[in-house]
Amino acid sequence: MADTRIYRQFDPVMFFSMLSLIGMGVLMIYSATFQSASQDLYIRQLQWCAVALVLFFILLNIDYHVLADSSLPIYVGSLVFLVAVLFFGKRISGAKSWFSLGYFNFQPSEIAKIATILFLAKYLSDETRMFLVLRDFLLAGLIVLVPMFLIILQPDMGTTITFIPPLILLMFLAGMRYKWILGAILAGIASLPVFWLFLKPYQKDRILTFVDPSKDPLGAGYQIIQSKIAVGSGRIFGKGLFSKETQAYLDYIPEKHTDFVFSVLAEDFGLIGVVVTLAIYFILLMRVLSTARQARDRVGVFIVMGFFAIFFFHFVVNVGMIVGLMPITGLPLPLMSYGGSSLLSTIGAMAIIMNVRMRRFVN
Amino acid sequence: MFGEPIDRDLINRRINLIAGVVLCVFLMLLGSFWYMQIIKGPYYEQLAGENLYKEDPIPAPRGLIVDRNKKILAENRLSHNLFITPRLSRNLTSTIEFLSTVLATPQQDLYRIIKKEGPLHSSSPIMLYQDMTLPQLAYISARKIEYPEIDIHHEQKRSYLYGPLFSHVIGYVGELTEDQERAKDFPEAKRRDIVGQSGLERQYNRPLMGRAGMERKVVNSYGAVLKEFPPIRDEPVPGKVLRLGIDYNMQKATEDIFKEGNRYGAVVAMDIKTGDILVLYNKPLFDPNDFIPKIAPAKWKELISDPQHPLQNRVIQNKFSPGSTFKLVMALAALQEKKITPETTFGCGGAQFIYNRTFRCWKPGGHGSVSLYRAIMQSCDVYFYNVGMRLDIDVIAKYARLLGLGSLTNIDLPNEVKGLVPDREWKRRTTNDKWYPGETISVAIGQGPILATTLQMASLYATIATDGNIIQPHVVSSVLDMSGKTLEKSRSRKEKVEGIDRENFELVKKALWGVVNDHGTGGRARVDGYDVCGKTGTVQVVGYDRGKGLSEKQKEKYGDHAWFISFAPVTDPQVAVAVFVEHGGHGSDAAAPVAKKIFETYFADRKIPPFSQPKLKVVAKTPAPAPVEETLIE
Repeated sequence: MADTRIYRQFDPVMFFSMLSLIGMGVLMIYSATFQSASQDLYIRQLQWCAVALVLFFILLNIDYHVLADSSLPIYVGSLVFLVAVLFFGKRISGAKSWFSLGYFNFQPSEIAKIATILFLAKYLSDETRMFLVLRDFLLAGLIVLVPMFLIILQPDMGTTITFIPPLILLMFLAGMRYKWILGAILAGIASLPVFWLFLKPYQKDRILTFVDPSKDPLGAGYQIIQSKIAVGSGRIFGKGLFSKETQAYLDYIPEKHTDFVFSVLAEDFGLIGVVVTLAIYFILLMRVLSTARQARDRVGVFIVMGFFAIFFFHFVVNVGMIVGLMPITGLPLPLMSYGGSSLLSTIGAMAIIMNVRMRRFVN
Repeated sequence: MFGEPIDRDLINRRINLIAGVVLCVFLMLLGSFWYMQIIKGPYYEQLAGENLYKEDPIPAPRGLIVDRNKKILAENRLSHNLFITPRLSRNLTSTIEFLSTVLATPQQDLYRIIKKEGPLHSSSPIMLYQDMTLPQLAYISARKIEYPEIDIHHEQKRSYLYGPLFSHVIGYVGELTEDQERAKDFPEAKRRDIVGQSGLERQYNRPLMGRAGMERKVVNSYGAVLKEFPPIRDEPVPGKVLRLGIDYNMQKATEDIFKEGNRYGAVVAMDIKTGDILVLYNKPLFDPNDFIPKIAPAKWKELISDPQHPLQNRVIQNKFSPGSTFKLVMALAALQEKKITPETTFGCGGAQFIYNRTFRCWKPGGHGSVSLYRAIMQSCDVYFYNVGMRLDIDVIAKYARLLGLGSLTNIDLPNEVKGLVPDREWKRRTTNDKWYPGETISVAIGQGPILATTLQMASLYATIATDGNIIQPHVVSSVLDMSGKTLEKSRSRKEKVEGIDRENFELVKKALWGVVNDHGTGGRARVDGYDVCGKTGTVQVVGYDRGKGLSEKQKEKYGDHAWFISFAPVTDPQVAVAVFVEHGGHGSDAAAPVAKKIFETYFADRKIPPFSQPKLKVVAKTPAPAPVEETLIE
């Protein structure tokens, strides 16, 4: 039964920040594709948005403690999906990460993200312990490693690495000492050469190209160069929405409605559009952090911060890639990139964060 | 300890730290966008523009080259070239397989061409094959729809209608080479432009080339032209037409008579009044069409390793001893310096002992007592040994230079060479030795170090014919536009020789008339009814004694060179002809008939009526034998 009192704590700033980013995303998807064969993509995105909002209000009404308490079965269920997709999934551009359900495709790794964070938050926030011992951290690592292992089998590199930031962030909040964090990071860096051996040639290419895009201007470097040209040539005021002489219109930007949607925005609206959009993201992220600070209990803090980590990681990697500060990893920009699964899981996560915020005073 | 006790303070402190990190990240991103959009904005804007526009050059048709009667010598024909844009390919392997079969070219060759231009998924079109045959064109056009990456471009290619006949005048064209680009030989040309590589094509490259036009189209990232942006066109300016002074009929007549002898040599005929070159002929020739569009490596190797150097323009690039044809310069110098008079006679006994050495005359029996007229007419060597003894080498050099030897004629063809007029200073500079009087005796009959090109000799005799006017020869007489309207006429620099009296020229000319018309050595150049004047020359390649017993085969390699240099008619000189036949033997029988044929063609084509009586009378009644032969002594 929905508790109507909590709606007094409903946060309009967060909600409208989220909606305006989605709206901006739909606009940019339309701008990027209005002349192409897939010009109805923005309609599909709006449909996803409607579905996502329904999900949003459903999740708002379920107390996050209920979610946390049932996080183990949810977690195990999501692992089952991850195993199943390896056998029955649909292969899209080389990776078996999708279930095809007729009209829409569904990506179990998105559910796994939410489920893993809920379970991890629940595990780390056990109120019976004052502080955590080595065994706790190792188990926390295991919780994350299992889905990571299943996802890398698909193989979906980008999604796999998104599990690392919430793990580190939550262990950090759970009181891990700085020297251990530093040690873990150094160990991670030290293991990079080993990691390198397991990369596929095209993945090595991407990283090498990130270091020097001019090395392969027509291959992997092409995307970075074209993206930078789009952004740079937008200058202060941009070339305007629906302008024809843009990199986006002329198909020079690859994946322009998904991974590179921010390039389209920077080209159409220039620095002004970029500043406004970044400001909204900043407000939203600050709001999430304030939610964590005000959360009623540790499990709330960890849930919020877990989602924050994923959201922020996606954001940094994607926008960093647009300006050439990050390698191309194929991670969507939260709320703006085209794609139903990403939108659903992001909005779902936002719902749970607001859920925590609304219940901060409830006892 | 691994962890710290968890309390609200710890969590809030660490969240605040995270908030700080978030702020830093946002500032960094903002800075990046600021840098890219404001500071580097203009740069990226330019790159975006370069992305957008595809500029297709529209080549200008190269100007035609026509002879004096506007007969076309060089024109353009249509060539069909195959281009490929690998990025547009659905299946490059199968495309290459298909093309390899149709074009009869190995697959790896086609791959090599593509790789040379860039990566195998290059998005700019690459020329894969030039000059497809019509069946190839038809076959590929019919299946083009299956291969969106294939493009056929029709292009104008140079074509030389008479093949080798004008090879040394017109030259040939080819793509601008990397060396030429680096050396800025053609500042007007860009990479891959077709430029003249030799002859007139090179000399007049700028007017012939015209200016390429340009079509600017907006393309998407696949290179497809977008219809909603109409292309901007900049029309090409076609090249200008070169009208030559060259006379096709005379050139052809030269070729015909030269062919009979199977000899090598050089011929040049020049209009004395205008400086127009009427004939410029070399043997051996090469076919400039072999260079279009590109010469086959085997063919190129054959051409440059040929010991006869077919690519060399002998008329302006080969220097030879002028032999007896130089005696005219000696005569003019001696007359002007008053060392002899027309009446001065020397006795010729077939040889003379000078400076402790025997110098022989070509006629072992001797000419007896000879005056200037007979000395030239019969080419008496002993007479000119005596003239040489009376003149200093520096004086001889002065007159030779006055008459134009030793310097460029400045004909409008590339790579002309200067020839050589020796003097004391030259000897000192090159060998650090002094000049010996015996060397002057050699120079007196056109031997020794003195060297001239065929063109210089023609020019020298034209100067003598006009009593001392040096006229600059030129191959192009006017520049026309495509419709045939004259844009510019060539004007030749004329220069009056100062310091030689007119009557001395008249004396020499009279003797030259005698060479041809008065039982002299040039009798075989005689054209009935026209006063042809000329002088034979024979240049020894090996020593006199060794040269005696040469077999026919050896003569081809060691035989004497034959000269005949002439002009006509004597009273109103119109045309000068210089003939050089390598290893041809005697000037009188190897070279003179060539000149005769050229004069005949010249007079017949211009319908110049013959005179009933020769303009000049025989000056000295000489009981001379029938046309004599001339040879030379070291």
